[in-house]
Amino acid sequence: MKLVALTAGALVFVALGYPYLNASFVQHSIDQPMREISELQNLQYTASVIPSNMSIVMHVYNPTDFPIVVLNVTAPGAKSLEPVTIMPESNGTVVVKIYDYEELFYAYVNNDFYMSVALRFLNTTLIVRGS
Amino acid sequence: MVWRTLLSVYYLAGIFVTLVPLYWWQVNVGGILIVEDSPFQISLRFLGAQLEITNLVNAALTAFRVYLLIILAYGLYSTIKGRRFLNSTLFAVTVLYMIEPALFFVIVEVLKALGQLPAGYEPIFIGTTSLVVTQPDAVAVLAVTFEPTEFYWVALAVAVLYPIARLSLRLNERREKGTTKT
Repeated sequence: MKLVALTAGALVFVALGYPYLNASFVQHSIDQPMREISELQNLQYTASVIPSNMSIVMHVYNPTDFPIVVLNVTAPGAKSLEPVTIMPESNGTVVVKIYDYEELFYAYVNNDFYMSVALRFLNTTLIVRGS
Repeated sequence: MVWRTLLSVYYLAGIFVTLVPLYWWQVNVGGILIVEDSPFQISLRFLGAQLEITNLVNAALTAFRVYLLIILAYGLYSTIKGRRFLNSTLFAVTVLYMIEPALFFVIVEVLKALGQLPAGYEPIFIGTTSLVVTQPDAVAVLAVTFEPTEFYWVALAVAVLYPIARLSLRLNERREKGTTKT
């Protein structure tokens, strides 16, 4: 009986899994999380922010629909910094303290600082202000 | 015979548990990764998107569902006919599902040891804990929730019938041996 059951199971697996049993699908699906992260980083908002002490306070509306924020902080003439991934609190507040960003600080005093914020969902309202 | 009744109920209820397309456990990592699974189906959502690999995994899990259904149906048929047929697969997978939170903890610890995930959390069995991801510029605290669904408890209740039926069968066999000797 076990043999019958095993054969039936194997047939079902082949029938249902046939479209997915190829190396390209497996590779494509393994890469998917990285593509999702890339997509998240590509959806960028830009805002003029003058943070006096290099900290950024944001408010994210609908934080439950918006579980992750990736801050991609850049400035003209400055090297790109590592994106900062952070969770909004339940009230939607996100506080990111930027330490030792010397080049960004120089960009700031040269008055050409800007920050881009990469977000997961475009329809989320976002207010960015310096503190 | 008590063992026959118990085993028949186990197999019949087992068929029901196997057929019902409900998840048994949910693991939610700060809404970023949501895993819902049972031994027969799985859903993996990452950043709100269903991961495509679940199609392949679900094909394998459906195959397991069919395998188990045939075994359980044969078990029910044999038991009703009075033949002794024992299969502990459903019992084993149901009990093994209790270790899912432990398995998740081990995966996180292994990734941490390999330097792939700068994160850690206090292990829990059921409930919510905090996964702390440490990055050079920020610390992200993610709420991690492990929750069995109500249907898992139904499956566990069915699984518990198996050792009881086996015990009953053993007692019956012992009794029968005693009767034969005298």
